[in-house]
This record gives sequence, C-alpha cells and structure tokens, in this order.
Amino acid sequence: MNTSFTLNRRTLLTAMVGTAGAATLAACNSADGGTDDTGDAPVTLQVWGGVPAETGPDDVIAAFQEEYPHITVIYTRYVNDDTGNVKLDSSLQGGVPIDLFFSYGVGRITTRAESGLMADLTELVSADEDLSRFGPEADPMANYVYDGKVYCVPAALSPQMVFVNVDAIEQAGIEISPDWDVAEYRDVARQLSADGVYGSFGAPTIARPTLGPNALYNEDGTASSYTDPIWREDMQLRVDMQEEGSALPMETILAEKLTDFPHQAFISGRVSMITAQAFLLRYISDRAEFPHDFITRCLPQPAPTSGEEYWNGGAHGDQLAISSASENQEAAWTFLKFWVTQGGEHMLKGGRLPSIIPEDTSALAGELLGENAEELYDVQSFEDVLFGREVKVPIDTITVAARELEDIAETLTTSALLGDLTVDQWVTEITAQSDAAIAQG
Amino acid sequence: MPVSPATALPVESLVGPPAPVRGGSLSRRQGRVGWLFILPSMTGFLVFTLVPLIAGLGIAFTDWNVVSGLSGINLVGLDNFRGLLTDPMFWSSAGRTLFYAGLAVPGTMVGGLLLGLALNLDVPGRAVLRAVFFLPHIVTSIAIGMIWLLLLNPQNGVVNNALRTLGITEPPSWLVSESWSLPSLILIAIWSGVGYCAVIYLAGIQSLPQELYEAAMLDGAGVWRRFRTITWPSLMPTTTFLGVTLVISQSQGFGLINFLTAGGPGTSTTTLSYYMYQEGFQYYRFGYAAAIGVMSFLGVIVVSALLWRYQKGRGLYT
Repeated sequence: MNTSFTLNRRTLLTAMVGTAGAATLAACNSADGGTDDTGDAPVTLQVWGGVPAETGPDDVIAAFQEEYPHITVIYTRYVNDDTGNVKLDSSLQGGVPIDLFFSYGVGRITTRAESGLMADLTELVSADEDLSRFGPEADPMANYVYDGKVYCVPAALSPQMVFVNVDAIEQAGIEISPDWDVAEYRDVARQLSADGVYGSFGAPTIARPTLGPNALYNEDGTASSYTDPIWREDMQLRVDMQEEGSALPMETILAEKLTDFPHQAFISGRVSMITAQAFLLRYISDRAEFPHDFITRCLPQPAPTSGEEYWNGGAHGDQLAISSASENQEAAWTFLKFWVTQGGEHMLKGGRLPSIIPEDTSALAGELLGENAEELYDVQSFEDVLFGREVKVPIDTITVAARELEDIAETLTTSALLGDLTVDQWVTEITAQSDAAIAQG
Repeated sequence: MPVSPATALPVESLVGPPAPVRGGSLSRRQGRVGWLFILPSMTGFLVFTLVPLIAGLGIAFTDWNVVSGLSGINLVGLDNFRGLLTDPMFWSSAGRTLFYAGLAVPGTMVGGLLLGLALNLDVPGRAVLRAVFFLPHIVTSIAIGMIWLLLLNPQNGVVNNALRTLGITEPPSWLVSESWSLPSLILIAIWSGVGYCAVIYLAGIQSLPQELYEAAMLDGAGVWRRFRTITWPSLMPTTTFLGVTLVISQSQGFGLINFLTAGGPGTSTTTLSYYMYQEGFQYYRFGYAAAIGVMSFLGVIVVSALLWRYQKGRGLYT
C-alpha cells in the first residue's frame, strides 16, 4: 500500500468532512443570530474548568494563542464540588457566556448531555482523524455515548496505579513483581504493617476490575449487580484487611478526613502503599509543602486473579464539551481539538496524563514527575506501568442513577467498615437501595 | 425588654406632638419619606427572602432540575409531597432533626440561662468572661468544626485522652460512630450557642425591676422561690424569643453537619436540611428538595406557634 497516497486521501476526506461540519455549525450560528467566527476575525472564548489555572490550563492557553492569535481564551476555574457544579449549571442556563466547560464524573456528564447543555459533537468527532477514537463507534469505547451521540471529549486518562514507599519495602526485604495479584498485595500489606504503620491505605478492589464496564448494573441495566458474589468477596476483603491491621481503619480515615487528603497518610509514612491516580504526584513532588525522603515506586493495580485479564479502576477524565448556547462553535471546536491533541503535554506537570498518549513517550514520565524526579521517584517504574503495558479503562454505557449509586455505596461501605453492618447486611442493604435508586431512575 | 404598663409612656411624649397637617399633604410627604427610609430594607427582604420563599414554594410543585432551565420545568402537582410521605429517608431525617433540635434547643437555653445568671453575679473579670463565652457565637462554623475535629479525634483527641486517663479504656468514637455522631453534634451546637443565649438572658435579667426582689426578700422568699416566681416568669418573653430563633436555626443547622460529618457515618447525621441539600445539590432534584424545605418550614411554624402559645399568659409582663 502506498502510504503517502493513503495519508493524502485521509487528509482530504477529513478536511472535507471537517469543512462540511464547520459550515453546518456556521449556518446554525447564523440561523440563531450568533456571530460568524469563521476566518481570522477576533474571537473570545470563555472556558470553565475545575483545574487551577496555574497547574496547566494557563500553559495550554498560551500555546494555543500562539498558534491562533485571533482567538483569545479566558479560563475560569470553578471548584469541582456540589456547589461549584451548580454554579456552572446555573450559569450555563442563565445565559452566562461560556463556550467550553469541563465535566468530571459520569453523573454530571450524563445530566448535562441529556439536558441539552452540551453541543452534539458526534459528526465532528467521528470525522476527525485524531479524535475519532472517542466517537460512538470506536472500539474499544473511550467516551460516554448517549443514544448514539457524543457530547464531550476526554482530555485526560486517569488510570489507577499503586504508589509504593520503596524504603519501606526494602527495609522489610520484600520483592514485588509488577504482575502481582490481590492475594500478593494483601500479603505485602501484612508484612509492611507494624505498630502505627499500615501496609496499605485501603484494600485493593476486586469487583470493578473483574466486572469492567457497567460494573454496578445487571446486563440490561434494570437492577444493580450486587447479587454477584464478587461484591461480597470485595467487601469481605476490605473488612478483613482492616481487622488484621494491614489497611488503615475507616475510623481513622473519617476522623482525619483522609478521604479528602489521602496523600498525607502516604507522604507521612503512615501507610506504605496507596492506590490512586496520577494527581497524587502533585503532592509527592512538592517537597517544600510535604517534606519526605523516601523514593516512590509505581506498580500496576494488582490482578484480582493471577494471570487473568482485568480492567483498570481508573477513568477517562476531564471531559471537555462545547456549550450548546455558545456563539463561537467553530472556534470552540478548534480549541477543544487543540487541548485534547496538543494540550496534554502542558497538563503533565499538574499530574494529568493526556487522553491521547503519543507514540514517543520517552519524555512523558520525566515531565509528569517534575524536576527532581530521580530524587523522589523510581522513574523507570512509572514508565513501565503507564506506558509499557496496556491499560484497559472501562467506560460505562449505562448511567441510570449513577450519582445515587456512588453515594449509596460510599455510605454503606463506611458503615460496614465502622462495624455497624455485617458483610451480609451490607450486601442486602446495598442491593435493595441500589435497585430502588435504579428503578426510580 | 419587658416594659411595665405602668411605666410605659405614650409615643407622643417621646417624639413630640405631631406636626400640623395642612390638607393632608405633609402627612403624605412624611409617608413618602418613611417609605424611602425603609425602602433598602424592604428591597432586601423582597429580593432575598420573600421572592425565594415564594419561588421555593412554587418549585416544590415541579420537577425542576436546574440544568433543564426554566423551559424544562414541569408541574407535577402534589407528586413531590406524595413521594415524601412514602420516603423512609425523609421520615428518618425528620426524626433526626427533631432529636437534634429537641435536645440542642433546650440544652442551649438551659445552659445559657445558668450562665447568664452566673455572669450576673458580681465576680471579678465579669466583662472578660462575658466576651469569652460569647466568642463561639461569632466564630465561623468551619473554625468551630476544626477545633472539635481535633478535640474529638477518637485516637489522639484531647477528650478521649482525658477519658482514658480517667480509666475509660474504650471511649466513644464521637463523630465517626453512627451512635455517637448526632449526640456529638448536639454537644457542639450547645457549646457554640450557650454564650449567645447567656448574653440575651443577661440583658433580660439586668432589666428586671429590683423592687420586686427587695419586696420578695422582705417577705422571706429564698433564692429558688425568687427565681421561680420573679426571674423565670419575667424572662418568659426572652425565653420565647430564644426558643423560636433557636428552633429555626437548629432545624436549619447545616454548616457544622456538612463540614464535620457530611450526613454520616452512614446516614446517622442526615437531618432534613442535609437531606434537602443532597436532593437538590447532589442529585439535582430541586423540586423534591423544595418540597422537603416546605415541610421543614411548616414544621418550624408549628413548633414556633406552640412555643408562642405556651408562653402566652405565663409571663409576668405578658
């Protein structure tokens, strides 16, 4: 096959479809009385996101404006909590000029997509050579799809990984294989536990990595999946590890609000292993604020069953959408595409991996881990885990009562770990409450 | 401040005789000036209280979810209220609210009254003590929450360390225990409200006519009898005011719960106000949340009316 010919044809097709899409959007704008932002006419885009501007967005915007000087981008940070999200939603509804916005978590994305706050990006995404991997027909799925349409594009990939205190495992004389499983993880956690020190922040998850997409639902999404014995096994492991002292007790986690600040337990040396996403690197790298002198190693999430395939517990994150009310649809699409395809490198310093990992990953780990990487990290281990092996991140296609199910699980799991529910009671309660929430929709 | 009918003065004696009226025009002008004076306050009340109140009432009959905008509002009649009647979470939250307010309000008032009486005594440093006790009332709930988080930490907190020193080997887990979390919040609410109540009670105590006490002492009345027959009935308007305002504030108590327990562990501190927040701000069911708000409002009105009715005719000056 003639490579250059294929490339040219693809480029030509992409250009044609892209132009057609842009023309459609421009026509829609004109019909709505919006401004026509084709060409190099000055445009100002308002972008709302939950990430502090100085941890990457400012750099993405500076790089974008260098390439597109006629498009000015103003970034507004909203706090990604309940009130911050209501502020964003009421602003979108109230006519505040917002052209693009980030959403975090399937519950919020679903609500906004189904309420018409997000522009339909299906055609543009499907026609784009770089972004078609996030289209509704992509295989494997890498985006949320609603009635065959996509309304946003993930700008970040947030796989879960295990951060390990190298000093602790060396002192204990433990060798850990990157192909470990949950039983080995528990064994290591036991060995690392001593008076006042816990081997692990929490127990490794079994259910989600085993069940993969739509882990919380039965096959047709009409009820929960908690009748699957894997959930009981998952909860039992959490209780057992807490009782044997190899995982931090829930009582301590709540009393010290460690669910909000889990990094403190790891950096202070109270726990030797913690499963988290790359955001944890922001704190580990900040030695001025969080002084510590041990090396951190990265290991993959352990397999539920040795040798069997499993899903990563992470997610495709930082979903960037164009407001359906934006009068600058074309410029907004230009910015969206830039952020997803070229902006990722600027977000690394804030602990965010790009959703499109480039072929050449040699510089990524270095940028992700910061200036003094060798003093703080086992750099090679991060390269191996993040870029040296396939990371399968599930995407849910069923999103009924997603937020309610999260809260029910959190509430009941907390009760079980505090000893107020037995594992059997947990199974009964979580099944009943989740089924009711799904039935209510 | 209670005013004796015998000592009450006609309003004219305080502000002077009314200005001469010529064809009613001056009266109208005075009226306009009067309206101008209250306009800022009335505007604030209308915009920030009355309109949201009426809007909230209206939203309770809809399925509004914010993101669908005004065009997405559908009238659902009494569906939200019917849903509440069969919602176990609503009733359990209402029960917790009653428990919380039912202990926090009298606890705060009794503590405030005792402290007010103590602060009325001629003790050295009285002025400083009054300021110290009032301090929690002006401190933000987040700061109060931070202090109590440290004090009530099950492992290293000051309270449990003290209890262990006293020989209690397994002290409560306070805020992280399903059985102790709500009582802990009640204790914190009482602690932070007692100073305010004490200052209000103190003002009431100091305005009581001394002649009554002198006469009672001449008649041989002891301390308890003087308190029961003079102080307590005389303070009835103050007690009613505090009772009503505390019922309103404690039934809406949200800041401390949100910061300290977020409705947990489990649902042990999910009161009506927190449940309303969850339904509205977490699940975007603003119609349902507004219905919870309306029911909560009605509950507070009923309790306030009962308090008002109770004090009527019982006070010395009512």
